[in-house]
Amino acid sequence: MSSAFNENGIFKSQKKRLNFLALIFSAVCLLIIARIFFLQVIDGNHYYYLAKNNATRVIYLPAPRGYILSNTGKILVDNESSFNIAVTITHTKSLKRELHLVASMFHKKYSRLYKIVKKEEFLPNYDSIILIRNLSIKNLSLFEVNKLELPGFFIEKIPIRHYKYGDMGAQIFGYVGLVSSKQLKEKKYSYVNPSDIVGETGLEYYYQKYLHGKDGEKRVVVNSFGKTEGKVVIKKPKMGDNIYSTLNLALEKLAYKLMKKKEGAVIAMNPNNGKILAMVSTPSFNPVYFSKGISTKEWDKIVNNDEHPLQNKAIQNSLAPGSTFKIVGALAGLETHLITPNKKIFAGPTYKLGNAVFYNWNPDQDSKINLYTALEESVDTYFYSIAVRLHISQIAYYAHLLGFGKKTGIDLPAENPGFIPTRKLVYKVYHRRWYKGSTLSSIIGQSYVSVTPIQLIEAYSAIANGGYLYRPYIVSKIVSSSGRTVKEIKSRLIRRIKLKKSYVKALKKGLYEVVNGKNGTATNGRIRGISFCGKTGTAQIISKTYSIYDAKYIPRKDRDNAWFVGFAPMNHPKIAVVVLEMHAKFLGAHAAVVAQKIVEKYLEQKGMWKPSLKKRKNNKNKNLPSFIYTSF
Amino acid sequence: MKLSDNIKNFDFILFFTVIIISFLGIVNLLGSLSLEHHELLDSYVMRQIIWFGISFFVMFAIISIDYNTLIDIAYYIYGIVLILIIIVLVKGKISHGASRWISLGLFTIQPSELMKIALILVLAKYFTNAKKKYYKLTDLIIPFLIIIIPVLLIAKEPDLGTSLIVFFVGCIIVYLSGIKRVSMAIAMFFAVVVLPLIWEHLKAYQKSRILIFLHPAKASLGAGYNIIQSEIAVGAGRIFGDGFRRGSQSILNFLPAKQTDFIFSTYAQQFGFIGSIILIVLYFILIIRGFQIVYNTKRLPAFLLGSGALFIITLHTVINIGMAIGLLPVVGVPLPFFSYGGTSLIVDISAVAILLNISMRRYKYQSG
Repeated sequence: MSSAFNENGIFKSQKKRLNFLALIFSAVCLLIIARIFFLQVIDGNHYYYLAKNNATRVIYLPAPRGYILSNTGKILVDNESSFNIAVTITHTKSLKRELHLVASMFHKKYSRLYKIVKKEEFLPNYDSIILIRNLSIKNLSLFEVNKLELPGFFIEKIPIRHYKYGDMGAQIFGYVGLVSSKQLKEKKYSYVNPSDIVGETGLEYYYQKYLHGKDGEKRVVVNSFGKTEGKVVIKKPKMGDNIYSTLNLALEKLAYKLMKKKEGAVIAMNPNNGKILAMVSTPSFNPVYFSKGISTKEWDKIVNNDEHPLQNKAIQNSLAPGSTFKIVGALAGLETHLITPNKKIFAGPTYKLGNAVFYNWNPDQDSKINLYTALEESVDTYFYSIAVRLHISQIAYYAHLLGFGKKTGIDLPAENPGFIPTRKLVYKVYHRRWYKGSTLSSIIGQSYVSVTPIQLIEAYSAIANGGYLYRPYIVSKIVSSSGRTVKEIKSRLIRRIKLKKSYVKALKKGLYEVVNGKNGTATNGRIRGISFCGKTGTAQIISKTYSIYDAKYIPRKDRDNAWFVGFAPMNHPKIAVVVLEMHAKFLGAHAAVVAQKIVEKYLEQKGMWKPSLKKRKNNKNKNLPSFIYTSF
Repeated sequence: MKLSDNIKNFDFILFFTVIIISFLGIVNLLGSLSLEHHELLDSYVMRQIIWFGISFFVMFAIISIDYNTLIDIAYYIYGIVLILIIIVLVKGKISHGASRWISLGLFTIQPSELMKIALILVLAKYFTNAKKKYYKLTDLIIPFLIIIIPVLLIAKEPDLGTSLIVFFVGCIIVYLSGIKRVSMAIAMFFAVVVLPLIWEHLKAYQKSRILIFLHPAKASLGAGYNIIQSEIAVGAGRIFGDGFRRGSQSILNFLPAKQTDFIFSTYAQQFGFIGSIILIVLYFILIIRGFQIVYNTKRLPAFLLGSGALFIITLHTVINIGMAIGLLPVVGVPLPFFSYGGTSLIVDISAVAILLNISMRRYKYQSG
């Protein structure tokens, strides 16, 4: 045939072209085989896994959270059942009709219920949608009676957090919330499932890992429309671990009762090991709002409250300590041999530094006094004369030694480190030069000095116990739901501060005089038969000084912050207490009364004290004058 | 020519390869049935078996008619199919939707599919009448119109897959008919210029399919979902496959178009790499056998018609599998004897019938 042309013949060139196409086809075949080899043989297991995951849906069964208990194992936070009405759309007969029925039964608007269902439209049909939350018992039985009319609707029982004492200790326990998509991406939440609740603040947050438990799961084989096709495999959820706090329930209750109407914080601590006996921060809120689903109105009310109910003021609020800080100045004076306990120094009503005049809170002061009197009457000018001969870094050194300017390391989140000024630090943070006058203000706990209540109680505890600085802690034991001890937390000594015994004794004696001396600033805090030691403090909010401090004439926000920090008994201290009353009506002396009651209660528990039959203390409280001279 | 000679010259290898593939196709369709389909008699598998019956009837009808007779009436066939396509289009305009089918009572047919056969007949006739060694560009205006009119009409339906197959098959016949290299280069140049214009006229979903083919991972739940689910199905089969009726991707309907466009993925998950290779070898035998038949013909009409029939099957196979394994973009192209669908089955069987027809009569015109 070759290239010769005959009728209806084919040219060789045409066959060549056909061969060329056959070659391309063969090459494509090889390419296809290579690709299939890659997909099925090399990457097969990967795709196999993807296919199996495609077909199974996992429904997580949330684990009940562990409880938070008091030191004796009394329940503070546990779970309760919340009953919701839920619906599985695939199981309904006529969704519209049944929704109408539910709406009329529970006096809800049909359009609202319909909206809820519509909103969840993207969910696979086998998933249930919660229609009505927190059903009352009455409505629960109403539903049960009409159950037959409502195929696809059912009661869903879910555990929600139950805070047994409501507002009490809310910031310490913290609240829980639905895990956010941002949190889910974090490594530390790798065990959390998208529908889980997690601790957002407080102990709920700090011990989230233990409290959470292990979610169970229900595996269902579904098709791409989400319809269930196959068997169900259930793995039961495992409850989270229970947390034994160090909190003394009676003390906690009392502290909250005393502080309820005020803005501030109270901490009671065992000065010998750092165990927190009570901690309250007021005003408070009920964390249950967060687990039941908080309304925008309630949320706004909490967030926009200028008394910051969500903040744990005991550890997150850093303020000027006022005269309570004089303990640092006294220690610095003793250690640098500027003073001795008994040496009398002249202290007048004012102290002049160059052109500046520094005032004593009590204008009647005009005599030579020793350290005991200086502490007892909280004489500012005595401390100015120490400060003038000290460098600010020396004061900072002793402050740091007592734990100020640094987080205490308590097992609660978002602790504030406070601020202890040095020249460098003030320049770095505030871009301001240091003046000698600021050293004088610093020694009485003003100017840049700022501390948290927890730091204050930590420092005073170290004085009380002779120099042992303990890390405060609030959880002592973690026990699994089956009773096995998962973790035991022991007290931790941060440092042993080497203090001369005579200095400790002198400081304690000074603090003793504050409460028990003739002219002490906290004499109304006295406890019959108990050597209660402490120090008052007043921190000014604005620089204006009122000759007479009367709450009636000062706007709330401008009122001073009142402090009291103390411990008892003097020689073998059992309890340390710090009280902070912000924008207080009454000053440090009143704060001392709060501390007094807590100490009394604790020592009564320990069998070291009995209330007198005359109820003397009640009268005392009533007789307290409505105004007291400013700045103790 | 006696009947016994016809039987003697009948290509049994080709025929039985088709029978085996068809058998596997039915098995595979059965394996793709979802759990919901309890009524086997009511399912698409039953309908496909009936289609097989009809198409084998068509096959023997085509074999029994001399292919030259078919070429003689090519213009009429082409004209009728073109009219059917226009009817479909007009109907679609009225009912405001994509419409590819004409209902014939119990069954529906897809005229655009039939155009594949009509086109190869017409082109074979045209080039046999023209009888040139090399064609210049100007000689190709008529074949160009013959190809491009149905291509545009089918694309308008819209049925991109069929339209592309018609276009490619047409081009291959033009190429084999002996177009000059220079003309080819010029035509290609125009294609490069015209392609962007065609792109402009594509429907949004067609554009997105091509774009997604280029970046599948970007849209796992959009149109890229198809490709990803298909690759998962193929890969999940691993070496030995998940077994008959155990292909979760198709049983549970994760795989879209599991019995048509992605029928290969359905098969690959059930029967694994080994099954896939067996199927591909079967197609390879079928197609290489077709090449042999075309190569061995000595007459131009048989050569061109046979090539057309061969490349209908080849393109269907390669594009369908290529798309299931993510080598090519998703366009609706059936896998011969595997995909569910009556008209496409008839077209593929007709193509085989044409090859068998040519092969059977290869000695008939030798002496002439």
